[in-house]
Amino acid sequence: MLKIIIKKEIQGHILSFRFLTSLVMLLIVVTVTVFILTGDYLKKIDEYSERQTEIENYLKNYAHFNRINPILRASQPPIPFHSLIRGLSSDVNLEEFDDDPLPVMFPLIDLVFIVAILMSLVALIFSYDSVCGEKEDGTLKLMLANGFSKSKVILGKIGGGILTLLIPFVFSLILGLLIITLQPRVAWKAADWGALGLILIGAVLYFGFFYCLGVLISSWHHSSSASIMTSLFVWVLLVLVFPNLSPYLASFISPTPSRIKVERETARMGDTERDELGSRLEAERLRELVKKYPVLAERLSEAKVKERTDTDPAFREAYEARIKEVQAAWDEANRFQGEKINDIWREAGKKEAAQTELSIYLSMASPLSGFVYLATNLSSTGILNGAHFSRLREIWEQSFWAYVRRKIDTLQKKDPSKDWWNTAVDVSDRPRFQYKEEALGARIEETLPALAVLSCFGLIIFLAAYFSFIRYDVR
Amino acid sequence: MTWTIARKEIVSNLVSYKFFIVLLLIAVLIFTSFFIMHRDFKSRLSDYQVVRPKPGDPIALLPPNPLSIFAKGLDEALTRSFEIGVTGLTVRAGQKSGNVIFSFFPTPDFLYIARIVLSLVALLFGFDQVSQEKERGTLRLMLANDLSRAKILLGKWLGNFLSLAVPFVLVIALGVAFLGLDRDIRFSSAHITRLAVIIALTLVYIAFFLSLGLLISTLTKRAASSIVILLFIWALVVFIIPNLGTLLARQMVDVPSVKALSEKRQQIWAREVLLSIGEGGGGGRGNWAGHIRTISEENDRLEEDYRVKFNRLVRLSKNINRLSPAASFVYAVTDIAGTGISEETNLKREVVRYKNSVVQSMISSVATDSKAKGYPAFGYNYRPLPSVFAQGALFDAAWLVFFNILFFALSYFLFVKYDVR
Amino acid sequence: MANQKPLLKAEDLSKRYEDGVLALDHINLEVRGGEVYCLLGANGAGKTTTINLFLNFIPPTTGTCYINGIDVTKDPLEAKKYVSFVSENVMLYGNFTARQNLDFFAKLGGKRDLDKEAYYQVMRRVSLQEKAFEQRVKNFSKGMRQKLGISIAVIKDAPAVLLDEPTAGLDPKAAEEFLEILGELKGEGKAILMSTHDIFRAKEIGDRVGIMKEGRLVMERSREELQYEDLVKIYIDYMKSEPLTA
Repeated sequence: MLKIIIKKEIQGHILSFRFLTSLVMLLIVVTVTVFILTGDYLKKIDEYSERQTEIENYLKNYAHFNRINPILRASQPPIPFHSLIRGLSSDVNLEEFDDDPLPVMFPLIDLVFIVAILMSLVALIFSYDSVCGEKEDGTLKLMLANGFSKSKVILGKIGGGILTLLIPFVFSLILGLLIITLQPRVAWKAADWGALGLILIGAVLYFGFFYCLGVLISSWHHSSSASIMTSLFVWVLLVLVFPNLSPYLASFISPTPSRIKVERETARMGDTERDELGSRLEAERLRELVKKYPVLAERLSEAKVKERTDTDPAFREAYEARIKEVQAAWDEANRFQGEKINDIWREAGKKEAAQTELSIYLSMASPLSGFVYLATNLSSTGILNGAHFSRLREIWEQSFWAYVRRKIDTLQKKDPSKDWWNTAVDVSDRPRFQYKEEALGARIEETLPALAVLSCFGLIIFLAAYFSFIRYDVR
Repeated sequence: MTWTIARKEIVSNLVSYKFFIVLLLIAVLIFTSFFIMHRDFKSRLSDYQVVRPKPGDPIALLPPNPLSIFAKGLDEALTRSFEIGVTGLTVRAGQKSGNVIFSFFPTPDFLYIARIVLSLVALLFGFDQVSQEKERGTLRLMLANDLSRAKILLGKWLGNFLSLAVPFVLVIALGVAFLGLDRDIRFSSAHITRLAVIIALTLVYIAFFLSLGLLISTLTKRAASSIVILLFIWALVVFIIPNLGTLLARQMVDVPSVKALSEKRQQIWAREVLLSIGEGGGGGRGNWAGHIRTISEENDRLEEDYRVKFNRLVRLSKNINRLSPAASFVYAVTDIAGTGISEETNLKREVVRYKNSVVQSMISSVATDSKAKGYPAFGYNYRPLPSVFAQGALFDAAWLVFFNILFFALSYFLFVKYDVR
Repeated sequence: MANQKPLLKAEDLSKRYEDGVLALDHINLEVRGGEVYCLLGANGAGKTTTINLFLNFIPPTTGTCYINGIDVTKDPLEAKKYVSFVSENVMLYGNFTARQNLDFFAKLGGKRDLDKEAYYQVMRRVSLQEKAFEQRVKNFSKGMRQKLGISIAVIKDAPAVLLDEPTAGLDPKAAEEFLEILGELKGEGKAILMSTHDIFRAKEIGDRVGIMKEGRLVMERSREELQYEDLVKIYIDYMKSEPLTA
């Protein structure tokens, strides 16, 4: 019995004008989007390697450890998933003078957008008249008069509808994936395909939700024209409004201190304050040291110093001790200021994290957010990747700075008179930052809550649609 | 006769469920948007009070733009803190960078609501105008009279436009009146003028989608088929063409990525510092000044070169985007509000000029080994409305009007051929 | 009456659609003032097409329609001043009341200065219930809507009236009331052209009856002639006979 209804639903949909239109539309949109995104991804890869080359060229001649930090930064390379999903990867670069205004004015279209906006709309288009339309046509009465129970009818409608939705979705996706796989420079790994599979499951849950929503709304009305209005009203709120309001609401409830203020303060602490502290500590230590090595009280030119360190072992010992003390003073200053700065950033970071978390919870009022987080996390283009990247960066920074220390030590042993922090060095043996996507297993684990939320949404709306139809007046 | 039809449309709308839902949606969205963006503006303003430059600071920092309540645009970027130092500009960005969720979803400002929701609403008003009259049989009844088809179409358009425009303007006026109650937001008369122009443009934008809806209505026999076409065209015009167009333009114009640019700037600075140290730390006051100058000049060359390429990208992007009136609308409204791409380009030019004058005095104080007493303050005037229009907003506005006329004319031609039986 | 100019005239009217179907084949008919002409035929015989051509909803392939001597394709707006139209099965504006619907169409028909009482009078004349005057049409039965439809025609007070299957789906009482009004209109001197496949009513009200089959007017009889012939038999015979070739 159920199969008959499902078959009829699917047939009815496939033969309809809206099915054809949706199919054509999705095919075109997905194809064009994937094509453009892939081209853009390839461009990004080229750009990234160009940047790396520029940095290498620079480092050959001008690498000095005092100012190597802003030159050698861990940066996120483009990943193959960018040919399908962009997430947070559009670089607005607001922290630099050169910000990119275009992504702010015209945000990117990617698969997440297509599913979130278009598929939900298509789902509503297919379902807004599933109940009231049949009533208007008179076929609902016929079905029920011919022995189909209301329960079977609604299950058949929902099942048939969602199965129908899969057709244009899967077809357009296959076409898009074809474009990606045909492009030799886009190298998808097994983990990527695995992630994509899960994202697709999330997508089906997502537009399944909207299909059930459409059925629910159509069971509130007795005319299709009223039903489409209500459906669009609800859709606009869920898809276009609620998620967008959430970070603002969170910022009112859980405010964070002015970033500009924090940055200025910490910059000052790391700069002028540190310099003052360092100079003061250096002076203190040297004062103490002169008591031990009175010979250091003399002010000698650099040439003279070099001469004496080469010839006089006692002077050499004193001078090396001086260097050590100076280093120790500055280390202390750095450490002290560094801790102050870290405290401030930690506080600010806590507040920001609290606000971000609140935003996420508030945004989950709409299933769109759940899907967006799920898709971006699984594709390493979202919040999860941000945290993962930070971790990788920290690890690399630690090993890099350990390398710097070792190198400085070796160089200073060879020639203690030179200021190795401000001299060009060969850093070709440095540990390089390697970005690797987080393991699929970890990504899946982190995404389970979002999946659970989507499933709950789906279940609730399915039950609502079911019971609402059972109570529907078919006369 | 036209007015009889228009009046009928208005009355018919007033008693329809569709109108009720639409009015509810517009009111809820606009009031919510005003509330949210107002709070956001207030918090940015109080942040500004905390970090505003003291007299003598070499800092360029704009206060938040009251019109950003309506069209946020690039106001976050425009209100960054640009601090001038010997090594160049240090930029500090504002609040939103701390909460990454802001980047996930577009800002729900008035521009967003107008661009996306009002367009949908206008389409929904237009799309079943003709097909529904045919389905009801009233089209035949109307045409059995001394009444030309042109009058019918015009009457329908007029009646529906008024049904949309009047409530819309009332809601906006109410919202703006509430905003005006807040003393902290000082809407100058220039602001009010610009806001009025934005509202007028929005009405043109709404009118376009009404005409488009009417056109779709003349193409289909059944309202149910029009709804599908309508929603896809809406998605295409409002989302897909503007956003993909920009990406497409990127492929065709060679512009260095902003990250590459920032990295080059760092490299210039670090290199010059190193060279200066290498030339002899102590006896190099004069040549440190020389290095500062080199840094400044090379940065400016980078900037100039990038600007040229970027402007080419923006031009191409605009030309592709403008296939969709939604893109024209965004450009025009952000330009008029002072939160658009051209305004940011203008500000950056002024900031660079300011930087150069500050760096000049820094160089001379380094050369003479004196401490600079205080630097001149940074003053910025938003581009005046006439030049905003001259630089593109007028074209965008005219483009919107042109689209309107085109689609209305198309609707007329199709309606004349429409099978009314 | 026979000397009067015909208010409705179809001269050598043909219509061939784009897909090649010949919907009308050289139709000639005339309706004078004070006359009711009933056009009979099966579905698809061409009755509605004839009426659509009179109203210039579609252009004729050959031939001309005249309303009050005016060629409807050459001067449609002028011609339509002289005709009222009652359509088959109109939904009208469901959210409007009966009076509001009437008011709108009256204004379109050129009657701009009527007051509420005038509308009520017309609606009473067509036997619409008093309480329905200010009720929303979407709750009306089919009969009530048809009555409202004819009140729209009545209020325009045009010399010619076109009706397309006006009694289809009406219960016998409503159909009788409807025909009464038609009789009154005929008495006022209006020319009435009515398409229908209700043979019995056609016999009752028609001064002349024409039978259409596959686009041709195959037979025309006046009331006197029908006194001696059985219209029902003639009609059924025509329906059963071999199809005419195009």
